[in-house]
Amino acid sequence: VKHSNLLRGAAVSLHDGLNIAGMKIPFLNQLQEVFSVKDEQLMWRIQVQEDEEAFAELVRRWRGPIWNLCTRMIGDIHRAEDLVQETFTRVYNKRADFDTRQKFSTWLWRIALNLCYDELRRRNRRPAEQTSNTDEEQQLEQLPAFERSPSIVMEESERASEVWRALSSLPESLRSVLVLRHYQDLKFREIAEILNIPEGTVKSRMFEGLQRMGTLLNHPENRSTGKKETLVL
Amino acid sequence: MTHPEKEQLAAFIYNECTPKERKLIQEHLAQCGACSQLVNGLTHTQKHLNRWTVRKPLVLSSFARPIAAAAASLLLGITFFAGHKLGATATQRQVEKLKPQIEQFCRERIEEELVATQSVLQQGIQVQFAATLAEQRQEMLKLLEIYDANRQQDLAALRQDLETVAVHTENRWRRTQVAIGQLVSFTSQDTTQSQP
Repeated sequence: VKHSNLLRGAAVSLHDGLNIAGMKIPFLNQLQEVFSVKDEQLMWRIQVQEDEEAFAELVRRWRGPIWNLCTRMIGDIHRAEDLVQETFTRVYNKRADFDTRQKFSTWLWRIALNLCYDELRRRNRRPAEQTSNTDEEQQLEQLPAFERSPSIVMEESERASEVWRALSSLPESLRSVLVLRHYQDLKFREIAEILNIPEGTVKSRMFEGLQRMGTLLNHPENRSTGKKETLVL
Repeated sequence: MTHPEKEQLAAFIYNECTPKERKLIQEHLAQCGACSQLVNGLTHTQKHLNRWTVRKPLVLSSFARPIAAAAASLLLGITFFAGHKLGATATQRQVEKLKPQIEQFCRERIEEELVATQSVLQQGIQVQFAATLAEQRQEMLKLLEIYDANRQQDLAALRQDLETVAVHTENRWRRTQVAIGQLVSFTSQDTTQSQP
């Protein structure tokens, strides 16, 4: 088992290395799949044996998607990183609560989403503190400097901020459906399981969310101005 | 077709409806200007949403870090060497001339390193694959043994049951024989009594 984990790690690392060098070898992706164990099996190992390697593997698999979800939900890449840590800490602490017959991803999305809701509620309680430390200058400093020229970075940042401002003015119920379907590319059925609501409700929320986003993006003056939400990239 | 429900339209624009539903909605959209405009608006919003791209800052895994570090130090060394060679009087043009050569050299070295690592990995995979096969075979054998033991148990239980049935049948048969004997003796007595 140790040997296979080492190999799997090596394959992943090599893949990272190849990406840096600007090359891609498709066989490595297949290689990872050959050695892959199901998430539920890994969770079982964590429950029964407190297997740290299995936990590390789960973190490796899900870190990216969860980071994406948190970033889209709260619009702050640094806080999103903290939420990813909190999510996995909660997964480990609540490992005994997980029923291995259910789907791990549904459970994980639910935990991450709940943490995002908590964060949004915390922010709503103290909006002044939130906006004080994220002015425009700091945002520019925090942008990743590699690969892109400053003008492209600025343009991307403006576009992103525009979408984020509209998205952040939506209620949580619509925002979560929009993020899960549009950005995380989950199916309506999966979202219904995560949110524990009927699939039809998910679809109607998606429709409403898109309609509202359309209005907000085309007519930004309709946006509620009660709270300033700043995007931190 | 009447106007599609909003749930149907959401499924339509995210390609989650059945082919039949899709066809019906498409037919309706071809006729209904209002619905067509609505769907166009929604797909436009979808495209608008895609303008927000997020990129996670690059974090290397533990295995890739030494390779990247080696490549970086190599690059640094070469740059230092080139700088030393050129001296303080080196012109910008000379640096520009040298840049592609350095780049190519670095690229080649990195490629060599990666190819070497790849071959090591492939060997490792073969070993691992064989080990996994052997492991699976062992597990299969264990399963077969368990299955065989269960079968033996079942057979023993069945034999015991059959023996019980046989004993009971034999007892019954003896009793029946005795009964027949008695019946025969009664019948023969009746016959001798009725003859005179």
